[in-house]
Amino acid sequence: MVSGRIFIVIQKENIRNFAIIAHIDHGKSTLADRILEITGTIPKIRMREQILDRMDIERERGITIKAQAVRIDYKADNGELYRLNLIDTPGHVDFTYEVSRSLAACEGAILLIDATQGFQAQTIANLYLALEQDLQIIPVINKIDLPSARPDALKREIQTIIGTKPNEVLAISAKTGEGVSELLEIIVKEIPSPKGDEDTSLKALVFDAHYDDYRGVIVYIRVMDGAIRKGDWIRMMATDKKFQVNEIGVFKPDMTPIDILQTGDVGYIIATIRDIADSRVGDTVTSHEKPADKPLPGYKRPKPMVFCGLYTVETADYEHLGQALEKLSLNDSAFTYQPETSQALGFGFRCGFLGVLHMDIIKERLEREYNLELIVTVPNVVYRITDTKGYVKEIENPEEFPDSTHLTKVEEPYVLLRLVTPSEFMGPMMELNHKKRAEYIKMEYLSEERVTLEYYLPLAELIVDYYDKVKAGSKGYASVDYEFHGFREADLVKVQILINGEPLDAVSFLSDRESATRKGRVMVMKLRRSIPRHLFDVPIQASVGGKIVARETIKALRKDVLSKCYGGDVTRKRKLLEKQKEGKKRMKMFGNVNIPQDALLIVLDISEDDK
Amino acid sequence: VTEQKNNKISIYLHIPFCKSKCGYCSFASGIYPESVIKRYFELLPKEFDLFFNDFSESLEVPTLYIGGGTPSAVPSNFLSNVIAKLLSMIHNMPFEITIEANPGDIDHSFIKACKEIGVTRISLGVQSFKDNVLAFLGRRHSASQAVDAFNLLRESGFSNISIDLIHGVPTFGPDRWLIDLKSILDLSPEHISLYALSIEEGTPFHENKIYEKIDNDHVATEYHLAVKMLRDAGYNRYEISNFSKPGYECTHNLNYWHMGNYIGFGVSAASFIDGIYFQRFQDVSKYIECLEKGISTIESLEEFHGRDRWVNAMIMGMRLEDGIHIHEFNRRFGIDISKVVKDKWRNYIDDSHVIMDDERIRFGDKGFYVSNSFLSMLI
Repeated sequence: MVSGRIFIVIQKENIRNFAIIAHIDHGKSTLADRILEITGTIPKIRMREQILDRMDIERERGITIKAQAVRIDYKADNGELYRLNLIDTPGHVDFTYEVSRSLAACEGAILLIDATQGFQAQTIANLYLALEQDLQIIPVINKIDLPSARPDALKREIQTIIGTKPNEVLAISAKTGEGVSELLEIIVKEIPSPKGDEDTSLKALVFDAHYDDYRGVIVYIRVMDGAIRKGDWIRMMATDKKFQVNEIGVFKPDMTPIDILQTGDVGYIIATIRDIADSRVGDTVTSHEKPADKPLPGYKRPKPMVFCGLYTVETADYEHLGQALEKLSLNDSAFTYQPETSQALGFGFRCGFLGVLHMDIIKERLEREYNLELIVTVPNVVYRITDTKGYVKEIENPEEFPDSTHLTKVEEPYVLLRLVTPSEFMGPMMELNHKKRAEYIKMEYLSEERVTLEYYLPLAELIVDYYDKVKAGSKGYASVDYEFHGFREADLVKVQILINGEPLDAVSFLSDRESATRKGRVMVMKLRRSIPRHLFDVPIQASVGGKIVARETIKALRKDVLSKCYGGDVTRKRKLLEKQKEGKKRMKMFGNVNIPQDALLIVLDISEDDK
Repeated sequence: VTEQKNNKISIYLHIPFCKSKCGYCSFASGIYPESVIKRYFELLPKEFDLFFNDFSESLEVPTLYIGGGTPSAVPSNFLSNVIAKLLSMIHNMPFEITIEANPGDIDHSFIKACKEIGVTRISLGVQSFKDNVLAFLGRRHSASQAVDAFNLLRESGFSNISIDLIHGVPTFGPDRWLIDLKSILDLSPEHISLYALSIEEGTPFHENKIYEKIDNDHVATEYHLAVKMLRDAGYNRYEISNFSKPGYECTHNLNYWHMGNYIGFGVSAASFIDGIYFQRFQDVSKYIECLEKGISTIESLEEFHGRDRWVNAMIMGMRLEDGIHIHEFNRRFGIDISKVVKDKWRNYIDDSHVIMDDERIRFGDKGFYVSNSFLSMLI
């Protein structure tokens, strides 16, 4: 597989580890492609569009989910050979922690901004993460080939945010390659070489890992101190597990085995790790024989904050779903699942995610890669409750939410939310946040036309149509980023939805007391519109604390028959009935009431809008 | 279990010609030059021959139904000639011969032809007694023409007249329907067919998205009003859409709903013989071409097996006020229909949805008009 293992020895001084911070579609992957092409890391003929994003779903959405790292040998204008390690960061809001760990593996970052769009919230959030890690920031304006590019306005924004003088900002086109060679020179000149002590105990930062069916977990590391060799016994400091390294390598960008990773190097190790939870992002790899006394700072255990039930449309697919979830979790330790049973939906799984986008991605992968047709219940956040005996418990499922008489305190998670918006949409954005129970923190002007807004927002509000509302309220110009902030006391009630007098668990939900009635009414309306008429009246009610707060009735069906039917019509009629029957199959029987699959999907659509 | 063979077979004859096409009509019918009409009538006997050459021996034909299209829209002599040929091939005179007619066509020449043929029953496509409704539907006759036509038929001695009415016509409120019901009761025909306007694909009404305007609750309200008024006036609802004075049920149509044998001649005509169902070409020119070449005009053929046989029989039989006869049904299809029904319709066996006793299963007033929901539960 590996042809010619020729590796030129490069001193630590000539290593440059860097990431690209960019908003979705601002051209990160295109820039990476261009760098790989210009440096000859990948011959042009082999260039696949955006080679760093491996999964189809990533390519389609233009989002990098798993971080990647690629080693690039670059001969600079000064004649010296440099090793550039480009560490690609996950590009979406639910993975702030993972992004921070990828950045921690770097000494510098390219801040890549689309000249037609300007700073977006996520870019700013990631920039702050990079600044926290003391990274050298290289601001770069991309897409200057586009006629709508406004590089000068953007230069002023850059000056406001990081103080770089407008004439010092590099403007490029990753697409045409214009300015990319200059950028490589700037990387070499401005990004510091790695520090670290070669002669001390091994300390390597795990910034990503993925599971390979044949080789087990492949761990992505950045060596901070010491070195790691094939055959070494290593220890994961957070999980305290011991493994022997049987392969070490680098990405060029294909996996290429080498003998040693030294201080400052970026690469991978394979050490027969079967469980991805044993190589957690942010953990420190050290030597088993000569362990470091303390791990690298910043390790956190990923904790799912958003939960939902996943069910299959076809009951027979339940086992298949279980196997698919198991497979996906091999590669994603941030996501959890356990079996649950719903009266309306049958057998399924309660799954935990970092956020709604994470949830969407898993859902999409299940549908696409495993051909599953899924029903997803209304997502909810994790709640922390204190009962009358003083016990604190976290609730992941609204079903488990106890009667309020048994509780002394309920807390819900809040996020620190950052919105970047053109100032003309400031009004609608502020109004939206007000409606969503957000607490205003501050506002800053990036330029005359663009503003950042900061809020503390209940996570429960963020996961229900918040992004859609931001998009709608700003014509798509505002962007959002968030990080977890902490728990705050909440006044929550459970809204039960009753169909024909029976509670329908799949659509019951928790709500802040103030909006419970309104939300209950909306849900009842939605159900009334999506459940077909039956042979009897079907009442749909919302109840809060045993009190009915909303009611709609689906009146009994009065006509469904073809009034004219003669000899020749019987086959046609039977086919019609068969079609009708087929339709019924796609319904879930709930008591005597048939609820169409798509009706559930409509009401489970997390938008709370009464459209 | 096989279909019990018998020698009784009803005949349907399709006349696919009209003087104008109604907005809702999905039947094989249209406006054709007289040359085509002439050719059609010349060729029809070839089809009779093809059939009777095989079966002639002992067939008994209880009923003949001449439908369309508009049978009254073609030259009367074409009709009388072709029927004469048809009747010459069978050994008995059908006791019920029905012909469909447009009120605008009822004149002395048509009546004369009917007498020659031996028509016993006239089905008059009145649809409404209000001119604005007729205009909406695209009917070519007026309300007063309909009344005149009815009276002329009566004067000419026709004692079994059926009138078709269409209800559930959007944009016309229930008062329109009340007027129509009163008008029809004034005429007091022996038989009334009430059809809800249904919008079929390929019709002008479908193209104009009239279906978007149809409110099934409105349709149901009009239907239930009609049932009540007609019952009060002495009519029996013997089938979902068909009402008659006692003894005036349409035997020909009852045979369909009983899944009896019938042979259809003419464009698009359907036939059902000993469990085999077939239908002739829908396209007039294709049909004519086949007959000219002396080849079969059958476009599709299907043999009912197993479940389909009794499901079809339920689809048809449950349209009748009397529903199905349990023992006869079980004997014919070799199943235990009451067991199936008790299982599938268990929540609805009461006085108003599904009524079941030792003899019969039938729909009650609440069940009839939502029978598709029930029937689909059987499938």
